[in-house]
Amino acid sequence: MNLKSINGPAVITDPSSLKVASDGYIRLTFEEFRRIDLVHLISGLDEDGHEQVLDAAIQTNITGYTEWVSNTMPAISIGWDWTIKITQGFGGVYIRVAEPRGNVMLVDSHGQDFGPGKSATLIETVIDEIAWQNVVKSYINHRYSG
Amino acid sequence: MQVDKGTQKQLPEGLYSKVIGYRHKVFVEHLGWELKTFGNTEQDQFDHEDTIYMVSRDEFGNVSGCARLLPTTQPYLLGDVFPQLFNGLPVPDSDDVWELSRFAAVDFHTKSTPEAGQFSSPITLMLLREVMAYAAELGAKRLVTVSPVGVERLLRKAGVHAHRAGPPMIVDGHPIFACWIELEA
Repeated sequence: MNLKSINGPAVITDPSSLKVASDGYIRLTFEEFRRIDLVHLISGLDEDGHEQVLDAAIQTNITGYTEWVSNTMPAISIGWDWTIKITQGFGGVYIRVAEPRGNVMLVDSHGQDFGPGKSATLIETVIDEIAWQNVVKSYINHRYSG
Repeated sequence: MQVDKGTQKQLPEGLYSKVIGYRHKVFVEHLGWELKTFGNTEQDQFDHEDTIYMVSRDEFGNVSGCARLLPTTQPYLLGDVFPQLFNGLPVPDSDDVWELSRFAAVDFHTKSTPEAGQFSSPITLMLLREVMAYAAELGAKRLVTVSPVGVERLLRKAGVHAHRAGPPMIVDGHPIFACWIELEA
């Protein structure tokens, strides 16, 4: 998935400038983050209960996770949960549930941490702009079709 | 829920044997992990005389959960077996970083059979909080653990500040990752 198709300010991210801090986070600004290419790593169905479904108050038994990574070193890692909402006439629609998880801490222009909560909220906006659903649906169909 | 903690010798007599039997039941029989086993018990090279255990038991004395704590200044699972999960950083080696491993909370003795998940028991969050508090008593400021990605949900639900150290790696078709757990107040 290429996030470069999303227009943003002309900030050029140099992937070689990414560093892992001693606390494990990779720190970058929101604009830098949205210019990072993320590729699909793996998706799967949940195999251990339905707790996140209950949290999301969506009535379905089909839930899962998806994991995406950057092609940088060090690598950015983002994952989130999804559920399939059955809609009349359209079959199953993949919907993200709960906040994304990852190793990114977004910072402001002064390098100050936004904190895990605000970082996750901003990362959500990027996830929700990309067409991850088709990638995950295709992968899930292939993985579990056997 | 009663929680015992300490080294093998410090645990009540016979409890360590129950713990390694419980681990076999959870990790080998239920989850299908390919681990070193001895009969119906599960142990590895990180189970030694200095290893710290935490064990929860129900009112009848049955083991309902367990955890293992190791200082990162000694050999530990993530450092020795999965160093690549640290995304290029050196593995932790510090008095204030401890590893949490073999964490499980599955109650095999309730009337309603739990799902086969590693953290299916209602006591999961209570045991996790006990583990975090005791690790802090031991001097830890942070925990690190190798886990399936579902652990992040659990930690978030518990309001714990936790995040991954790097991308997951795929083992037997399932993603596992190194997770930092911050113990700050």
